[in-house]
Amino acid sequence: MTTGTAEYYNLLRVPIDATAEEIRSAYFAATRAYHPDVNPAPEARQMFIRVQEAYEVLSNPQRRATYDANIPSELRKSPPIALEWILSRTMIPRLNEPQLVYAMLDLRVTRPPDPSTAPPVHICLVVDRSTSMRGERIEMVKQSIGHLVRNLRPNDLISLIAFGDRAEVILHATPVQHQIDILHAVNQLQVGGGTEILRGLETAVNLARYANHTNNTSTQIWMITDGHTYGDEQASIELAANARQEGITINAFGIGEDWNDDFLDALTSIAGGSTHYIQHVEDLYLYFERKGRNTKQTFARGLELYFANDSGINIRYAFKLGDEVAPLVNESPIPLGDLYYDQKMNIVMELLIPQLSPEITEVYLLRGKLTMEIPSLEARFWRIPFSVACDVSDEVESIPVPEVLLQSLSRLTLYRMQEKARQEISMGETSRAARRLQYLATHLLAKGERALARTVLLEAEHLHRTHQLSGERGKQIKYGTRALLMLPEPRKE
Amino acid sequence: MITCPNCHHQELPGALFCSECGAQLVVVDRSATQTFDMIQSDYFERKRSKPLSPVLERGESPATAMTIALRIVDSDEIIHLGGRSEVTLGRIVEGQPILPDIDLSPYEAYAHGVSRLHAAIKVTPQRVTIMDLGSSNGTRVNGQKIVPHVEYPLKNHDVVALGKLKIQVIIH
Repeated sequence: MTTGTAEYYNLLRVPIDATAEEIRSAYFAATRAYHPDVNPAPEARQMFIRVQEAYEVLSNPQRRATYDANIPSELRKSPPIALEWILSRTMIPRLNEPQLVYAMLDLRVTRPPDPSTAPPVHICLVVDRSTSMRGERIEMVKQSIGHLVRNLRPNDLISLIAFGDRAEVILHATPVQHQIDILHAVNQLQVGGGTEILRGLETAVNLARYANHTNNTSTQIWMITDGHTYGDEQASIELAANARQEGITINAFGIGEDWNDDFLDALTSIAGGSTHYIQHVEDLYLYFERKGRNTKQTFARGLELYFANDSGINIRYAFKLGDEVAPLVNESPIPLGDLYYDQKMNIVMELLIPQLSPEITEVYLLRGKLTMEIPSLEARFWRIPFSVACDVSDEVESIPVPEVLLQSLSRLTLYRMQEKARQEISMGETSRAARRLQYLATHLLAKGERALARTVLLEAEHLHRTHQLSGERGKQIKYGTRALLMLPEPRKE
Repeated sequence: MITCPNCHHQELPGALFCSECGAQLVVVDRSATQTFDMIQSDYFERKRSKPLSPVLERGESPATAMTIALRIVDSDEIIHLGGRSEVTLGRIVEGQPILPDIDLSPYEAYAHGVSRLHAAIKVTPQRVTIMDLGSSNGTRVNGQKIVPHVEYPLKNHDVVALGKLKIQVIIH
């Protein structure tokens, strides 16, 4: 294990300029996770002792000052990340009613890509082995894993868990250089049983947790499923939220039509990941390839956006655009997942501004911090504060909306129309939903999305006849409109 | 509150798109920066390794001192452009202020939806290009609609459609 000069800060997962209060709450969080009563693993016990040691030094102002004196000043230089806010208006009109402002956060790594500094990744594959996976699906999963293994770096780790009614660890974290062992384990996957996602997830989080503590590895859980889980959704989501606090990201791959997309979206959003719809099982191969490629480009991980909500401004909606597209939770902190060297990340938000009283001349539209872990730096934990203030004016003048924001929102609007139609269907308002789908189809046609528009129109017709959403087209529309939000692919090297 | 001009839904001030029908609520002059993206809804199908339709190869340039002819696909008639470096295509109607260089009226241009000033072909030693002049029914190159007022390179045997009138470009 490394004992760099900023190691105490890294142990507590706080930046070197953390306040006393931040250190205190980080310490409590760490003890909760590693306390021998909670976590019987020997690694956890080790960590518990080291966290104690770190806290004893950092909580004492004098000892902390001595410790800080040994930290070279170049460790304090701000990380090479550009953070830019683009607003739909920079001057807020004083209105006697609430109003909306749109904001887009543009995040980029300003340093040239250096994939060699990307930390090794531990991918914990959690494979649904319920009876419905039999045949083509499970075979394709095996092939895709084989392909993934060939595309990772030798020091990356793979582990494999199969779950049905129970969960079973098929392979503990194994370096990719032992390819034969991995492929051998993969071939032992057998199908049979139900789909109990919580069982699989629990086993995965436990396994990932231990691998995570011992080194600087990025840990990701990839859940591959084709079915519904029953009754354990809430517990799964809570577990995912805990996993994220320990730096574990969860991604999901839903195969076919019968999985619960709302649940998996919620599960992955809270854990900073994204859900992918695998319409044809052959596509799994490509998704794995792409995701595997991204892990090699990781610059910062576990990004979280904290907002100070003292100005009465509400985030009504937040969405991540980039190579990985995902709806975000709309309360602080918002998990954003990982930032890659060669891809920018855009976050679009809809802000609700309350009615502004005459004495207010300025509002803090956005104020808070962005926190992240940068594995290639010696001091790994960082926070970037931001504060965007806007003048309030009595005169309402129209200022052009930045083109890039408008473009993103025009696509996001389509996704949200689809989302609204789904809500209406669930409330039984099928004719409204059908009309909305027709509007959506019109816009898709205007954008040249013929295939998707056709699917939407078919669905609208289907809705008129049966008053129900068809599983297959419902997912095609949801993930199809979501795919519109992908930023252009990075240049091929 | 503001009202959507399309569906009369009420939106909060500051909204950029109608949440009901998706109509854009702000006016932007985007003529200068219009970009056309690749069609993305073919996303699912694209990955099923379907062969893609032929794409224009921008690098491919005809040799110098070439002659260019247009073949009307329906009637198989050939129009030679001669040595001119720029010609406009359209149809001549009485009382029209600006006349196109090549009148396509003999080839049922009106019925095919050709505008009076439809498109222009430019010939330089490096390349041959076509530009739509803001025609009503648009111009397609090999079935792909092109953006008005932007030059598109042409190569031998490309099929250009002015409205529905198909013309093959022959470059020697």
